[in-house]
Amino acid sequence: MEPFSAGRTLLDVNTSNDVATQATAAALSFAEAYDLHADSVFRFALVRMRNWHDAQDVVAMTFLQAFGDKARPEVGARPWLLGVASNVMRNFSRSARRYRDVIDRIPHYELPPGDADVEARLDAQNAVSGVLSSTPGLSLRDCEVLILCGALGYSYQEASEALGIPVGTIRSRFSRAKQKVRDAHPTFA
Amino acid sequence: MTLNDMTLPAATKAAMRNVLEAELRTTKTRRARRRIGFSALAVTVVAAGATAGTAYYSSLQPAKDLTRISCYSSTDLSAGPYMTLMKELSGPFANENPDFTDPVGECAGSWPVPMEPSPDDPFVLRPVAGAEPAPPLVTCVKEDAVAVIPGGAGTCGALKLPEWNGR
Repeated sequence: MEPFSAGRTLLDVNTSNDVATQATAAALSFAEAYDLHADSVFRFALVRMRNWHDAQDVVAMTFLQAFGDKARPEVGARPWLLGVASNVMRNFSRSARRYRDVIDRIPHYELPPGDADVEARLDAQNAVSGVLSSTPGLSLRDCEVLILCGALGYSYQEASEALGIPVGTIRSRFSRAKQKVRDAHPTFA
Repeated sequence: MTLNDMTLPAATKAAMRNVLEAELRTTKTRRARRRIGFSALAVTVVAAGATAGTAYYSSLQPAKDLTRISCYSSTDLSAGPYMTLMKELSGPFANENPDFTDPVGECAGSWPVPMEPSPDDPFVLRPVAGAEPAPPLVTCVKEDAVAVIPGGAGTCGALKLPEWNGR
């Protein structure tokens, strides 16, 4: 089982600054932003929440919160949405209560038993989640930095914008978190 | 299958998109209605304020058609005037209207000085010896009346009444 793209590991990072080339949140309509970034939010939520259904709920709540507000900022749409998702996940219970009636109207994907593709998805999710949950001393922020920069391959810059943390702090957090993962899993790449 | 290949299932993604779009449309409509409600409330408040302001301003302006001369013996107007002279527009006394050209004279002539019986005729009253005559009086406007009040310059302003300009 290989949970990451070819040539990638949890501990790699994308050092390119591709965030500058993205459309800003203010420039995108809901439909455009959803089509472009719903899957990114879903992946982030899936690893962080470790639950398929909760991740879908996080996607819905993230877009409701992001596009229900009056104005959207002139920042990259994807990191901004990931930041909104991060807040939604931190206040998951409260957000879920707030948006319960909407979430209940969304048909949830039922996992077909014995489907190889589904099994692979779950393996990928469980691999990352397992590493994170079995590494002692990782804070919530450490996990988010590892997921964004390591597992999902976002740049330091993008993770910085998403989490509202300076780039330097992202770098040092990522470095420390990587060390903790290595200490806990010496065989991990 | 890798983590970076994972996507929302297509059916869920499409269904979620429809539900969210509908919800956001509803939210915007609700917010617009609320905004209209707030605007209407703001307009009402502003209009009420303007009306109250106009009423207050008007109260400071001389009434266009003064029909009475109210004579007060002190600046405590709540005690009421000691004499009110009405302007009769018609009827048998229409020709005996008070003199609106000299309201101070009208009130001063009837200033309520203390009276006592005359020694010559106990049924005739005369002013008490040494009683003060009418003090200086000023003319203000109170509602539709010329209010003649003891005092000097600034008395009308202190009572929040406009001064009477003689017309």
